[in-house]
Amino acid sequence: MSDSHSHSHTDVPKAPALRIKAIETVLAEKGLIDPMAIEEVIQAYETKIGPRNGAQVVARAWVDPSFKERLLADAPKAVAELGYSGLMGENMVALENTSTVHNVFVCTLCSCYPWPVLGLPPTWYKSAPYRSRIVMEPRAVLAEMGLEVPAETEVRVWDSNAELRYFVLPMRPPGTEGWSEQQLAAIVTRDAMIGTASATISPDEQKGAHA
Amino acid sequence: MNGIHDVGGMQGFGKVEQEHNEPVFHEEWERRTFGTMFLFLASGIACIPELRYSTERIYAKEYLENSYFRRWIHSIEEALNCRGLAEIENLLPHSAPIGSAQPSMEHGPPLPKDFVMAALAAGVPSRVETEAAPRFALGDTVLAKNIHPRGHTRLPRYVRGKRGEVVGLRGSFALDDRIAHHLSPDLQPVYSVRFPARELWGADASENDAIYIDLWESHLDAA
Repeated sequence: MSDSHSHSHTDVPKAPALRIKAIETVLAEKGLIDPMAIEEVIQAYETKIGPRNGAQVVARAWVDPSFKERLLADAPKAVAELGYSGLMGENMVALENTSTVHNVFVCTLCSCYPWPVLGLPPTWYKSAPYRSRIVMEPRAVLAEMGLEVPAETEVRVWDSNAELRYFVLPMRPPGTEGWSEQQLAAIVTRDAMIGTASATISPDEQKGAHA
Repeated sequence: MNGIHDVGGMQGFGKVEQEHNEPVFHEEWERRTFGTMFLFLASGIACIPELRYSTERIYAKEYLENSYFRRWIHSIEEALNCRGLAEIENLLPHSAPIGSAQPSMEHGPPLPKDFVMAALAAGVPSRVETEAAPRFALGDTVLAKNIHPRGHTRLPRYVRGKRGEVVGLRGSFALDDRIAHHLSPDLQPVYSVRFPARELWGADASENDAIYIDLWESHLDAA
């Protein structure tokens, strides 16, 4: 770099692996963290807290109208019935997709996301292309991602820039009548709960369900 | 600040690139960064708005060229530096904070491994009860203020000066714009405000579409 912000980094370890190791050491020395707990946090989000949780919530809402009512009225409370709660989900709101309204959420300023039901966000959700475009041209972005929203359907884009966290209750696809809650949960994807996809079934799945 | 983080409505970033079957973390150091960040915040010595403001002040070119978790490392480094807890040369060049008070040095004991799951499940409740009556009611037309603070704000550029409708009362929360600068909490009602797409983006936007955004009371004027 030769501009006015020129810095010499030649003597500083730039490798993030070394930087975070040094930070861990400092934080442990100062009595701020217990390094033995780090792996526990990581594994919680690798193995326990992820979009399968949200899929269970959606499936329950599809089969149980009174649960759906509670979910739309007070999402954190309803989600806690299934054992999910906590960090980045203290103030969640469930957004119901219908034949007239399609919801999709974003965090234009950073990466806010409903962790208890969806886990940690994918890279594209945190990226400048998604954050910049979804508020201005949602239909174009959704179409690129494979979701065509009919012109007469209202698209609502929710920017979670304050303390509220959103997730989408997608429409239950036709052809799933009589399916069990577990069968239904299996077709609910992370992207359907962000609002960049819909919940769908393949013709094979439709046949399988009737077999 | 009108920083590079405030990208809503900008053009020129290209297509949304999705990775099929993306893992939760791509690198071991990303895993460690996430785990360390959580425990650092759990100590109570720093807060999320402070760290967000730290990443927002990374020079725009560096912000775009460096990955999400690299920016996290930078923000922890700065939080340690500004408290005198370490003297680490930051990973990424950045500008100085504007109008900030002394950062807090208070913290609790380190979170032990056996308490991690309980802490995650409990979360950090942020909605607070206040006596003050909300200034706006459902159905009110409001104007997002046209302000350009040099410090941290959660009022994105793309709604400033635009008219919306109050469609939800979210309860009261401390204003991030102050907490990020280590200033005393200012508890205010937060509103869900609906902006028609055409109000924000003009006649080319679909007349059916709308943006919903949560705004603190001091970011709004009566319209």
